[in-house]
Amino acid sequence: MPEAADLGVGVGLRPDHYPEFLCDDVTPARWVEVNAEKYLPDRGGRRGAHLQVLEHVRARMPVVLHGTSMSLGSARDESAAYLARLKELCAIIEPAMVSDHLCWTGIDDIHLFDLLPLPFVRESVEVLVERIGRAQDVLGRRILVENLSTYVTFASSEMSEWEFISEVVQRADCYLLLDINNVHVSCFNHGWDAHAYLHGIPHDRVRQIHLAGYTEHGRIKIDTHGEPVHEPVWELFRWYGDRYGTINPMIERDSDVPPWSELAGELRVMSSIVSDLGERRCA
Amino acid sequence: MRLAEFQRQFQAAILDPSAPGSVDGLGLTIPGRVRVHRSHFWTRMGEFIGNWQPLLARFLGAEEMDRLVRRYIAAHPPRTVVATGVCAQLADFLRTAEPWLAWPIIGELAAIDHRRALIRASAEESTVTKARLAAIDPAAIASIRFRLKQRSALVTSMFRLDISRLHLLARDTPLDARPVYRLIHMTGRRYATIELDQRSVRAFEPLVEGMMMSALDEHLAGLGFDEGERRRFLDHVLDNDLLVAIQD
Repeated sequence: MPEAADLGVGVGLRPDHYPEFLCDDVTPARWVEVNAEKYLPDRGGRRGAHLQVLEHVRARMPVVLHGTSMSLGSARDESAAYLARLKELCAIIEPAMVSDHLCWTGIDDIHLFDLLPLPFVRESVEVLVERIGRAQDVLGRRILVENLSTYVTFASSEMSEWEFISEVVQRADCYLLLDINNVHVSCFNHGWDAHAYLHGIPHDRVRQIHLAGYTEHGRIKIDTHGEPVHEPVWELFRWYGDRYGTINPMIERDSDVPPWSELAGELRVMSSIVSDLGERRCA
Repeated sequence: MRLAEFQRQFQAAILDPSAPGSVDGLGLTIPGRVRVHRSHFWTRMGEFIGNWQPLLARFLGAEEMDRLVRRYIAAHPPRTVVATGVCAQLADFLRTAEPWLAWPIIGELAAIDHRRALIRASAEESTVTKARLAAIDPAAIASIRFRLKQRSALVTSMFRLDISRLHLLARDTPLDARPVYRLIHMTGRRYATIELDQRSVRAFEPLVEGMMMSALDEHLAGLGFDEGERRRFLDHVLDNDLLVAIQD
């Protein structure tokens, strides 16, 4: 299975920014991550308008496929058709990495278009380990799995989220996509210690880092990807990077998408943090 | 509780927020927060359907569209991982569900809107021009299949939709007595519509899958097109940038 490389600073490719990507005017982004579902060829293998743009972008920079539909934590495995189409997309795009989430998205063939939380219990671990293994077998590569932003917890949970993630990732022999915004949001919503969380994950498995903006809704924060990265998240990124590195960091923006120049400004902030931390480590 | 049972109950709590005690037994430490997932799901469904069916959304208005989304999704929860599939049964739903079945124009509008969205989502392809066709070696043309470009569709409906007058369309407008045949296609962000008669529809039909030029000529002759009509048909197709050449 190919290993994940260090690609530098990346960004989520959104249709609002297709004009800039089609004109190759996207400094300082060095790679893009896309929502895999938007680009899947249809069941007849026909390529849609979005995939046509992505093939143009892929000819110029690495692409990471980020899915939301493997439903790795679903008690029933209903992902075979999706994985087959994702594999087809992988053959077209030859992505640098493929990722999805430590969650479930529906059961009994219903798809809720949401990343739903799991209780941190042994059965959830077993389901995830088996299903990640199956996805990796089908795709012929190690995948990355991402920690969620969560709003609910379950009385039945037997371990912390970071213990849960560690066990799943080690046993499934996959990589971790560390979403630092999600760590901040979950820790805020549940009163957890974000530093304890970040200390507790398997650092040697992290191959990509997400940053994004949340929205405050009274006593909870919601992972909307609709605002610029907030200072507490930049702070956690610096904290984590200083101790464990900043491999393949990127910014996601899915709603209220700003003009490219504004997003590029955020990417420059990220680049500058990465470079400062690199110099400190060298010194 | 086993994971499968837990997930079915959680899913039901999202799909049917009004179900009494729907989150009891899930062991949520703060049960009220399930509303985040409910809100996320229903907001997303509204966005998907509104974006996919913009003409329908404009015609119904925000309030009725919201009611429609809730009724439709309750009857047809999404079983596809791609947003484009969520609306696949919406037109049929509107034709059979109260109160919308009383206004058949709404189901027809949804069906046309859906076809337009499918065209919009398809990839742009390089089409054959008259000059390019003329430059192809006659010996090579026998191995080339021609088909309508992906960003096109033959659409049959029971009313003559005029999008520029959508705001004037009354919901009790009766359906036409005869079907209206159209070829809708798109270049860039612009839709174009060609009105067809029934014979022209039959002429176009095999071009959806594609055929050799000689087979097209035979097909048109079989439909009674004389030589001049066959030439004009091909010119019309080429002038409208509708044909794609596939080297099998």
